[in-house]
Amino acid sequence: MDNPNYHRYYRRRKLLRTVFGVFSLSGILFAFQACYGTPKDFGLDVVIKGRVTSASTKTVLPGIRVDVGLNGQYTLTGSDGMFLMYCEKMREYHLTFSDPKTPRDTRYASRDTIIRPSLTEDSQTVLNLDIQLQ
Amino acid sequence: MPSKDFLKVTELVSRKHHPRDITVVMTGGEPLLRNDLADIGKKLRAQGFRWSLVTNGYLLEPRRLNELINAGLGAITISLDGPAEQHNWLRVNPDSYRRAIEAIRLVARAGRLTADVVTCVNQKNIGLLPRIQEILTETGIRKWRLFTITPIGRAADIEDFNLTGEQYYQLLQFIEQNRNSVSFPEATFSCESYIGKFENKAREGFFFCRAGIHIGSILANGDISACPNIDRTLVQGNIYQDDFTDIWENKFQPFRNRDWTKINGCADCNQYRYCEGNGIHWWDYENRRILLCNYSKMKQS
Repeated sequence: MDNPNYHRYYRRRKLLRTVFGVFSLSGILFAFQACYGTPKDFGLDVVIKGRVTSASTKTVLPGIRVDVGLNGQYTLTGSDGMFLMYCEKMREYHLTFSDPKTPRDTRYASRDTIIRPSLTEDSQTVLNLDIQLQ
Repeated sequence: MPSKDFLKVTELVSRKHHPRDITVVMTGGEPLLRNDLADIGKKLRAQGFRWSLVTNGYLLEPRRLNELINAGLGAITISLDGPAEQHNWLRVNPDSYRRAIEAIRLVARAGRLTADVVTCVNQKNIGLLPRIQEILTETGIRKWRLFTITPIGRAADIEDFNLTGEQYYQLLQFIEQNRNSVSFPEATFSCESYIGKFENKAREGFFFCRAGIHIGSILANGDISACPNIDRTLVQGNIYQDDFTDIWENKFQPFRNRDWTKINGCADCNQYRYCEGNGIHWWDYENRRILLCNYSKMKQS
């Protein structure tokens, strides 16, 4: 505790910067990694989430593909019709909702939507959508 | 380790520290062996953390990467240890190189991710650094981090793993020359050790071992330590018996007061005031013995 470096480097309430989660351990690989870590993530993303329902029956639609138009990024709605994806921060998103699974004649029509979020510097932007398919 | 045990700890951490200032790095072993990784990542983001991944890229195909980015993955590091022959030799797998290259190409195109490649430099690939540089340039990756092997485990017994002092110097010279390259991926040296006259030249910033100061880890068995490659006798607790935040705030003394490293050759070394005992992962703590001082090795050569 008397070492001045102790005080210089250790401000315990502020300096917990990185927690490593090691779930699968290999003794051999310890020898290969001299310094663990990744580049800094600047957190430049937004959360796009929502629910997809049928316009006619109002029931939730599972398995709907949601394309965000960024390097092929997509997700599928869950059994509750909900989806959530973290996406690169952009001025606008061209979202496409399509129904890839059901037979063609009963398939819901695809729907395109453009959203332009108001992005804030500090807080995580969350876009909450309610989409209905015909 | 069941994910709920890990997430219970991060939940506690998020209550005592600002999670936005903390990145959770998933490493291993190979973290992509876990099928619940995206689910864990999503939950970490919900708690307010950022998360990233260190992987050999073997299991990183487009669908998996899409799933991880959807779950809020923000940064990724992939290992590439040479052209095919040398990489596969080190990884002991004939298909390892092809898969790593495919994974690097994939992350280089992913706009959301900050990504780099790490290369473990050894006797087999030290002469091939320009070739590796060309390979990486073709993949589109922009950042390249180089490091050397710590002589523990398998690496302690195999001569080909460890560089001579002259080769270590050669490595740092190569990095210095390619540090701010615009034609190739920007090369940088890892945070592994103090590098004397190459400080601030082969790496951004001066050497500072962050183990146990900025970095805490939870190992697969629940042990609490600093960087995962540090001597196991420096384990500070276990999440199944201890409160992680309590251990972080009240233990970790060997990491935060490094006077114990001022012994043997380090006691009289005129560089000690800069390196303060070098990276902790170079120490056999139980026997109070430094495994390797790369600065001395370079100087001797």
